[in-house]
Order: sequence, then C-alpha cells, then structure tokens
Amino acid sequence: MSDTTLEDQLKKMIVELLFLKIEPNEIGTDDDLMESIDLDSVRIFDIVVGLETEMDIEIDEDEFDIENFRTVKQIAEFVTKKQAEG
Amino acid sequence: MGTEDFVQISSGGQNVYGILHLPDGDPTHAIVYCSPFAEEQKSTYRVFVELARHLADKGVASLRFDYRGTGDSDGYFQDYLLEDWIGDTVAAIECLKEKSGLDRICVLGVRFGGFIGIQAAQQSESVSDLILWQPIISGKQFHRQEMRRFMIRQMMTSGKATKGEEELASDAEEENVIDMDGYLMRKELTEGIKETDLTSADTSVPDRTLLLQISHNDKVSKEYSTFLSNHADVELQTLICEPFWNRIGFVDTVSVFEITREWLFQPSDLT
Repeated sequence: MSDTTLEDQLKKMIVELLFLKIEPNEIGTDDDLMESIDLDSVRIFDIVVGLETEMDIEIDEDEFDIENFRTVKQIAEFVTKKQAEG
Repeated sequence: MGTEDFVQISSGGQNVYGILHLPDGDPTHAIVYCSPFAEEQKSTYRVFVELARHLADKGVASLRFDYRGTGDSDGYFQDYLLEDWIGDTVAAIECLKEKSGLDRICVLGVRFGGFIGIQAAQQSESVSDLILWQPIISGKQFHRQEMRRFMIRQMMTSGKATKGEEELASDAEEENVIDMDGYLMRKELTEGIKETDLTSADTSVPDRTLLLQISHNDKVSKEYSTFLSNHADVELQTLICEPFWNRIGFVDTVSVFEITREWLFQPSDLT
C-alpha cells in the first residue's frame, strides 16, 4: 500500500465513485477530466463528497474553483494542501 | 397486471395527487412511496413506477404521490415547509389504508423521502414497516450537501463559485426565499431541514425498519453508523449500486428491487 501514490488512490476512487467502466490507470494524471471522463457537475459532486468522506478533508466555499478539480494532479495537490492544513 | 388509477388526496385543505397501483385480488401488503428532493425526485420517478408495477405483480398495493408544490399536486414549491410534506405523507398513508383495505402500511423513502418518511411514521400509528433507501438522516448534513451542489454548478458555469451560504442568506432577506437552482425555498424550510437531526435515539422508528445503504462501496457511513448505534432494531443492508437518484441515464435497479421485495415479504417476528 505504501507504494500507492495519492494520484493512484484518487484514480481508483474516481473510477469507483463514478462507476466508470475503465481501469484506474487509464486515467492520465494530467488528463483534463472534463474531456477524458466527461466530468460534469453531477460527477464533480460525487467526487467532492468522496474527497470529504474518504480523504477526510473539508472543502471551503472559496475553494470551489475548477482549477482544483480539472485533473487528477490538481486534485492531488489540493488534497495534499488541505491535509497539511489539518 | 392489476390496475393503476389517479387519486386525489386532501392535505392541508389542498389537493395532493398520486397514482394508486392495485394488484389483481386482495393486496397482501401496501406501500406509500416518499420521493427525494428537487432534482433527485426527477431521477427517481421512473424507478418508483417500475417498483410499483413489479410489486403489484406480487400482490402489493402501492401509492406514489407528489408532495404539494411538486409534480401534479397543488401549490408552489416555496409555499411549503417540512411539516406540510410530512402531513402530505400521512394523508397518503390514510388514503392507501382505505383503498387497500389493509390496516398496516409500509413507507418507502428514498434520500430526502426517507427523512420525510421517518417523520411521517412517527405521526401515524398505521405505519408498520419502514424501508429507507440511502436516506437523509441529518438535515444539517443534507443542507451542506445541497449547498455544495449549488456551488459546484456555479463553478461549472463561471470557473469559480462566487456565491456561498452567507450571500444566499443575504439575498433571502428581502424576499424570504432562497433560490436554490430554481427551487425557491423559504428561509423557514431551510432552517427546518437544518435543525432536524434524526440520528439520535429520540427518533422513534417502526420496529420493522430496513436501512439500505446504496453506495460505491459497502463501508457503512459515519452518519448511518451513529443512527444504527441508537436504533439497534433497524436492519442494515448495503448494496453497491450507482446512485440512480443522481443520474440522468438508466441505472439498473433490479438488485434494489430484489432486496426490497425480499425484506418486505420476510415473515415478521413481531406480534
């Protein structure tokens, strides 16, 4: 488990949460999720709820910025920042 | 095959409309369906139709109805508070009792419909069974999630959410309504939802209650764990299934139907 990166965990979480019929490694870390997996408001909602419950973070109102959610890399950076803040 | 008929129910001096499904012959069970909130209600509509038809073939009477201010029923969404929709549900329970000829009614609630269903069951002695599909238990948590949905929609349109809860509340000062993505909600409604917490042991539920967690995994949520620790008799089942209430396209709900039907027909240990 220790070899699993946060990016890998996020890809797995996204595939499970959204019931995608793909393998997690088919999502590129820098892929624009709006294009690669048709990320829309409903799907981002599922991801936001998933991040808050599974990554134990709380997203503040002013953090609802698409640049925090566009790619797995951006989500990972955002989660890392939130977890560091405690 | 059974019959499907339009019914008119009186609630709070207004009309609540619904569809009554009756099986051929005398029904063995009777279920009132409580819909989720706003957009989730739309995605659940067809699921209820299919479940009611499926159960009619097994001898079950069903009543699907629209809360006032929604669907075919009287009024405008912003006219109603939580207690009005609970009252509509109690009226629907009484209607189904009369139409089915059965004294004991099952209430099935999905999401916000579970939140309403639990409270209606507290007000009606006729509710013997309660089936909760991924129910809302904490009004505060539900409100928080609805706010998130609202902010995500803004983010998808403008790149960043600019209006949060405070700004919404400020907008509401003049008109006393909050525009939550086209659903005008009175301040008292949002406050009523936020203040209602059904997790505690003070919340009574029928002796036969099923909580079906429908999620992407079978890890029981914190909210449900707390509810279950306070309600030892509630039966928990978990199902990995797409949240059909949050989808526009088709979601296979056969497993949800099977669990529901099997639980409903389980012999009761209660006298």
